[in-house]
Amino acid sequence: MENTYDLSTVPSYIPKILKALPVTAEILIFSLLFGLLLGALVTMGALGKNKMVRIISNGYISFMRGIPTLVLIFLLYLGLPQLMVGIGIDLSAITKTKYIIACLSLGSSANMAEMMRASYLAVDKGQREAAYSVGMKGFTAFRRIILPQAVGIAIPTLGNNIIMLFKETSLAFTVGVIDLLGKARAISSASYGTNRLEVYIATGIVFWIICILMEYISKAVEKVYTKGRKQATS
Amino acid sequence: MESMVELKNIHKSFGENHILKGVDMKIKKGEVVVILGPSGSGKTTLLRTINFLDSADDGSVSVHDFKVKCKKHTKSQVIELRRKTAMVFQNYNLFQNKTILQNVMEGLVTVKKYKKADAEVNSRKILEKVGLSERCDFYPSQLSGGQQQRAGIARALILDPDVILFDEPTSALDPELVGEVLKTIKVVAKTGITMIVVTHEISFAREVASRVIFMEGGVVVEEGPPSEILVNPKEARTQQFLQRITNPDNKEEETLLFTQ
Repeated sequence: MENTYDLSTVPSYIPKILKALPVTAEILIFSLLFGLLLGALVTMGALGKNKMVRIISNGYISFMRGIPTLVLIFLLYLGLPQLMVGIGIDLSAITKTKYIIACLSLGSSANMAEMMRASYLAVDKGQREAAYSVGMKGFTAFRRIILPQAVGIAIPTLGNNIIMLFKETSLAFTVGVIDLLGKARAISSASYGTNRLEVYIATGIVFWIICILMEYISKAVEKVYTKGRKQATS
Repeated sequence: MESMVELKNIHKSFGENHILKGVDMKIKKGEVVVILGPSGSGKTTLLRTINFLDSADDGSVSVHDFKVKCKKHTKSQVIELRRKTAMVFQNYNLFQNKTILQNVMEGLVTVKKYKKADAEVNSRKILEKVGLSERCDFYPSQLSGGQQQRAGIARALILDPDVILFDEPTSALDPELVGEVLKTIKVVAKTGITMIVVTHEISFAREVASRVIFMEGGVVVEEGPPSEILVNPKEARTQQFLQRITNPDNKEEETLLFTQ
């Protein structure tokens, strides 16, 4: 039996794959930004006083958490243009990358909202009472006391969410975006699949190493941010 | 006679639980009022209705001639009321994301609109008074309970409130740390500021209080100077409570347990 693969070539594919890193980075950064923004809005709705808004926000979170990102991508990329053409709107000008960013933003916003809600509720209620007792208004108490503590609590989860989002950017290849995985597929197809094992091993390594870096950064940020003020109890 | 705090017909329920059943109270300027009573008697809730951390269902609260009706109050009324009062909490509730110095400065900067530099000078002075000048740059979690509570007192004092509300300020402390906090509160009491203290420290009440109020079941049972209430209470319930607190393993209880 002849070996059809040559593992020693794996490292040589890594720089080639990394050429697509800017595309993945663009998707990640914009999805993260919009995901956080959307998540913040939904959290406000879910924690707000208006019952109708609360129901809608919770419904949104439940739907977006329940639907696989890939299904969302197909729905939006394939389904939406069809729907829009029906009412006379042409969406063909929107790039594939933008579709992916939209889908990932929607998908991650639910996780972000859950993270924000949990962190907000985890701040001891005595903190708000103390802020009120010195005479602060609601928003001042939120901005100066509650929010900084909630952010500290959220950092580990945020790191986790970013890593999940980063891995989900690989779904971009399904609509033909040349991201890290798309690039890997392109390299593999160019040699008619003869090197596919080596290429995908290289791809896995690239994702893994970037995830390790992210985890490291998340821990460092948490350490700096909460320096000396970890709650003694709970 | 100038009355600093006046509560009229305060009612408060949590769900089905009727905690306060029409409490009236008049506290004069400079008085140190100690509220005693068993758990569940509503004394902490009463204290919290004064600064609307719990808003009463009925009645009215006035502090330094500023009156708020509990049934109909606006946000700005509540904020104004809170700015006339300050509170020391059972669990200290120091701002965890701020140093001790920042904790004390916070109210001056955000509420009283002091310049940061001025606020810092004043805060350091107060922290020195409570014996924490060495701990200014520590975070709350790095301090002992006693130190945290003294910082809590400094945070309340610096606002120069009309009345300071103490909610069981020593109940969460290790026994060996109670003394330092009580000592600080005594010093504060001597400055002539109006204070309402909910506590279980009978000896503190005896030494510091100008008036003792005994509450049970959401009403004021008895009140008067400590020499009267603590030594010769008229009401049976007060007598019983004091006996239990000063003599925890008394015989009457034991026999009761055995005969039941």
